[in-house]
Amino acid sequence: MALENLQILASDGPRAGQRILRMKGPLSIHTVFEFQNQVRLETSSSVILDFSGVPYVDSAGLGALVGAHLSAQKSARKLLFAAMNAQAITLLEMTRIRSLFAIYSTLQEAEAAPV
Amino acid sequence: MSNGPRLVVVEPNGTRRDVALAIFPFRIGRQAGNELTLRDSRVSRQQAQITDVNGTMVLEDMGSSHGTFVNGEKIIRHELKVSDQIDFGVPDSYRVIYVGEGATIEELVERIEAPAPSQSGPRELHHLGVLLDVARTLSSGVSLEDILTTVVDAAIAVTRTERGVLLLTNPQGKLETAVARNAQRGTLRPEEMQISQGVLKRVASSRRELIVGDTVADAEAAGRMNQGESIARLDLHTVVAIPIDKMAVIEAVDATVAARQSELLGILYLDSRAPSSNFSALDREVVRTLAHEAATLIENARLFAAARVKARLDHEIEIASKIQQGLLPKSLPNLPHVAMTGSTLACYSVGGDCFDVIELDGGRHGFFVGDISGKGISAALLATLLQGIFFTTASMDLALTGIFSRVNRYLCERSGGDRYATVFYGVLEKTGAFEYVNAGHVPPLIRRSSGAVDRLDLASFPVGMFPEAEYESASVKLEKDDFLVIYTDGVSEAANLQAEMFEEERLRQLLESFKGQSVEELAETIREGVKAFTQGAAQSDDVTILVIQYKGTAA
Repeated sequence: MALENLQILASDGPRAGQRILRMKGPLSIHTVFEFQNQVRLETSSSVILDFSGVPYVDSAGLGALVGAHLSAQKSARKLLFAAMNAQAITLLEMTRIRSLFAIYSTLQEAEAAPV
Repeated sequence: MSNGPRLVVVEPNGTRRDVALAIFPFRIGRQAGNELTLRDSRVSRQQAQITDVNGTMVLEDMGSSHGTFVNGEKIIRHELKVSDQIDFGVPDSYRVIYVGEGATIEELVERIEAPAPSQSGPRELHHLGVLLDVARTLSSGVSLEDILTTVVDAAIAVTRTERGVLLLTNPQGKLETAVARNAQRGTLRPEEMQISQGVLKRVASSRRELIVGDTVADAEAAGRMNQGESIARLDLHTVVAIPIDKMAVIEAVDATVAARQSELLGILYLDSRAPSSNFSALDREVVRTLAHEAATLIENARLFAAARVKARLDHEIEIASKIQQGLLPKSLPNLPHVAMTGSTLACYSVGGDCFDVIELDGGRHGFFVGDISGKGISAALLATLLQGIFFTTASMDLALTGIFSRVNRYLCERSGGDRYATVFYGVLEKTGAFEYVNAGHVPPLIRRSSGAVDRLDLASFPVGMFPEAEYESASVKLEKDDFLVIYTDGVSEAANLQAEMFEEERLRQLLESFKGQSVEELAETIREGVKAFTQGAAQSDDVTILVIQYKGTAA
């Protein structure tokens, strides 16, 4: 996985105050900076992270997700996790973090959640 | 650099070697056993020799087939002078340059006499090229600054200007003065260093040379470019400014495109208040050659410096790796009631995985496996720290959950929040009772003597993530010949070329079908299994395995 690349497309969600960050690529030690830079820019009350294009999350990626979650909590914003694959879910379960995050199987379900 | 006379040997492929003239007669030719053997079938076996005649080096041709030449002229006997170039009468062969005794670059340059305009010719240009060849070879022992000073002195001499300034771009991209010389081979004083900024700006942006002399055309050009005013104010009559490009402009097919794409290393600037004679086309060529040489020298010096930094860093990492390996438990005890083996393979030379076995009282043992998030040097530092804290804390008489709370608070305070660790720690009693805490770590597996595989299910948060995290412990009972396998996600996430992962399921199957008897066999089976699965794909994470066999209480 030498040349890892994470692309993030930011757009408005279907409801007011909702933003969607569509990620394409692994969330790993090589790509956490991209992730953190992008997430820092978001200020809306509800941000959905779309993981459908993310094949793999490593330990550094998990650290970044926790960091993003905590920082959203501090500013009374919501961070939603949509369409994570089995590998990512297993990682969250193993570290007991699954119960902390708002996780949705699909992007649509995340979009429908209360803002 | 030795002090005796020396030669620079330029091989047909351009490589340069520094050779001492120490043994006389110094024989040159194809024959092995010569003081200088030249591997070219066209060169005679005994081509030439150099003898020391009362301190003078004398070169003699030894009846060679194609003749021996000095500076292009055929010789039979010739007293060598510094920078004489010897070749052997055939094209694309070796060249030998006589450098002289302990010659410094300055002494070499003194030999360049500014050619009178009528005498400027290909030979003078060639002579200059030879000199710079030598400079490049000798540059391993001479500072870059000395060589660049020589280049500027040579430029002043050849162009008959009064001042020469070499500016180099610093890492931030700004031009800084590196060398400032006058026509007497001295350094300019600060008050003498005012030069035309307008000219510098123009050259830096256009990346083309700027030559302003006394001709009408030049003056018009200067006027058009608005440089006229600043040049007039400084009372200059001649200004030459050449950009030094990483990729030489003269070699580029399309000079404009190439210049824009290549990196500007600096500017060679020359000026004079005296009205100069026509700055001829040949002079222009000479100065461009000098700028080109300067570019090569600067680039080589930078690459060399970067290589030295890398070599030092590699050395530091090697030391860190040795320290980390030294911290691993050296030999794990093999006792009547328990046997154990452990291994860790870092992805880079140093890694974020660690493991340890801590001897407690009453024949109890603590087993620790940790995995710091991330990889490489920073993870390794924290891994070492974590291993140390755990060892110390575990040796105190604390409940397991208390150990984890302390370690967690310590890491949260010190890691700045962006690093955490998953840790598994358990204590095995002589009876086989095993109490453990799993802080977000890959669940260990127990291979029972029946062949069944159980998993240790209880999990808590990692350490170093949430300061207020609470930890729970659980207990299991190990029976005779049960194997406990504690591992890191470098095993379960080991990937093959199809990007499939090893996963717990494959490890389970491997354990179920294991027929061996010892911990070493099991550990090796796991390592081999992962290796076979990954089929040579690159290791992407640190791989750590700790295998414990409970052998039961003595009868």
